[in-house]
Amino acid sequence: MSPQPSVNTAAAETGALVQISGLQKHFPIVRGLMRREVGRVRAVEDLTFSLKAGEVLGLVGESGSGKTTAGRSLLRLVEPTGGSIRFDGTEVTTLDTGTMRRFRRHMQMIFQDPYASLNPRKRVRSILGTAIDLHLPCSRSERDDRIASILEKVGLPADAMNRFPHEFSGGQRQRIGIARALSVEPRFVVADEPVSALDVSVQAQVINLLQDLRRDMNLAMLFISHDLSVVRYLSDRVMVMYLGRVMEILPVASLTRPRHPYTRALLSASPEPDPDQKRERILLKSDLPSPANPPSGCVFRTRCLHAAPACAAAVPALTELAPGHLAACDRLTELA
Amino acid sequence: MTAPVPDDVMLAVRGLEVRFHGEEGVAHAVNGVDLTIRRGETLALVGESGSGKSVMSLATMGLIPTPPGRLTAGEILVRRRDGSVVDMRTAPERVKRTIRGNEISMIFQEPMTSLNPVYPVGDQIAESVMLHKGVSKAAAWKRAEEMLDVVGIPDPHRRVQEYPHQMSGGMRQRVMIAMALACDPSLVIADEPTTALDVTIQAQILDLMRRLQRDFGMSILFITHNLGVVCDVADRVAVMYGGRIVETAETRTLFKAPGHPYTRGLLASVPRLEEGESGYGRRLYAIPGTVPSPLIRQTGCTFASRCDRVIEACHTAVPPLEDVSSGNGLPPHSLRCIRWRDADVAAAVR
Repeated sequence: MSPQPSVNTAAAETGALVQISGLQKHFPIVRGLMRREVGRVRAVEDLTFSLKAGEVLGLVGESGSGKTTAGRSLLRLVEPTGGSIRFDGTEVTTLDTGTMRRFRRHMQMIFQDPYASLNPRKRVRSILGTAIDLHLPCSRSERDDRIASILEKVGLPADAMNRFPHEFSGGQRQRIGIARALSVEPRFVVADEPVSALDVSVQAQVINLLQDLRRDMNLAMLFISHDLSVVRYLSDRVMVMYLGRVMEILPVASLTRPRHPYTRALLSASPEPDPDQKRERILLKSDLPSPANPPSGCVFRTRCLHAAPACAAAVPALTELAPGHLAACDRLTELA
Repeated sequence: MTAPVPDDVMLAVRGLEVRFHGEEGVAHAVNGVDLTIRRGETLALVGESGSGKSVMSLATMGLIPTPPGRLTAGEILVRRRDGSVVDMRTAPERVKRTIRGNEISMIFQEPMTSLNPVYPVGDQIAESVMLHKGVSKAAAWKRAEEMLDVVGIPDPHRRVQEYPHQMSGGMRQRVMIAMALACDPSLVIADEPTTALDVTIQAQILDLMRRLQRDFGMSILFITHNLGVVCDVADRVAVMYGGRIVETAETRTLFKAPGHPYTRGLLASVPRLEEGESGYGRRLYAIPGTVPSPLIRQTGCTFASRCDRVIEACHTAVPPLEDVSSGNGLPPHSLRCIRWRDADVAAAVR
């Protein structure tokens, strides 16, 4: 039996299960034979938030916003270049490789692409069993029981464990991916676009399943999506990222009344299947700038319809506007 | 044999069947589809993966690879610029080539893979102009530059020399649109043109397409799985499932009074931003099961295995596409469901 890393329970008093502060991930841009660093892609800058046990935070952003890198950095699937990640009181960033590996029992990931994230040569038993062997070693029959029970939880028959990934549809594969993440009974899960590759009718099945699982297992979750309306069905709070920085964090009940100009534009651009719904359409100028060369000051200012010269001067701080509602924009009082 | 095509109809597909022969058997991708698009109209063809919607677009362009594909029945009638009508199913390749990219053009989903990476975008736009309009290279390049300006690419004189990799995804999709419109086509087939784009860029592209349709007056067959986008762009909607049209109506009617159980289920399963104070913890309706395999020939209604109103008769014969609005003076609304006379459906669609 491998020893489980001890988890400090002191943090339970503050109520936070996951505490992220100042998380940063830069990727070096290297050139030439000497692999000289010529620049940096600032994928994630100064990410700070906390999550209570059983709480779901939706993370929304467009491509290049750094949302996937943020999710991976939290589990150290990519090494953060700065900041702190505390899980239940334990500082995760300084754990050695072996300890970190065992620690992942508590922090798991659900991936986007149900076709690419399952090994096509392995049966479902072995796909789910690998994680169980590492984290919760037990006898062969106990292991099969565990696999059968988690398969049932995600709505698949127990005999699915004898089959290969290609024998399943996209929605069923995503259920297998979810079962793999949950088979070791984690308390925190990063779900990276788990329903984006699925058809609408199947997407609804998986969203409902995730709702059930988070309730039954009291899961804390970072739910990453590019789709504001999907996030709304699962999240307690929503965090909006743009070019590596957090623009706004708001309670889900305020989602249709955001304050930050970027969130407003994002909301207005999301098409709704309702002919009576005539939301004011805000068309943003141009495209996302390169994260290797982000604008000075507020990173959104080059596309913002309300940008003023002062926006170039300093990075606006996340400021609390109402309980649980924060936005990083210096012009909010003028825009309200 | 061919019923006449009314003057304002740009595309009339009638009873089209498309099969693909593979190692695992015959895939019945399109099983008797009827579609009509009028001048200046946008028809959205909606469906999930495997519904046959992309096969419809390729068939209309005369681009189904044969083998393995075969158009086994039906006609694809296209109104030409001179007013004559040609059947894209039976027309000789020589004729089809003068139509494709000229009178009918296509905007593909993936601007990254649909543009040739080794030629400047100007070359790629100019190519079809030279081919179809018989103008000089210089004139075609000038047209390319003009088109980049039309689709809102800044500094077109410089951009026309650039290669696709020098542009962002949104820019590339604008180039695709410029290419599609360069010969002033009367029908544009847009197959998931915004699916690969971020929502803020999608909003820009949809806005552009709307503006261009107003200025150029072309008809658009807009193929998508996204019901929000449909609601945004379409005049009329045809819902496709299992290779058949199961419902067709004007956009407003379809969203406000859907009749087919599949359309109803699909609309109920879309996550929405504006419904109620918070979606949190609220259940989405989920259609049980999955899309049936096109390899298995269904005797009755293709949706029967997933339908919550299924009765014995649904399994015995394919239901006809019936006009459910007749006699009310309402715009046409057709359903392929034998249970549409049920009190609640009939009440909803009227």
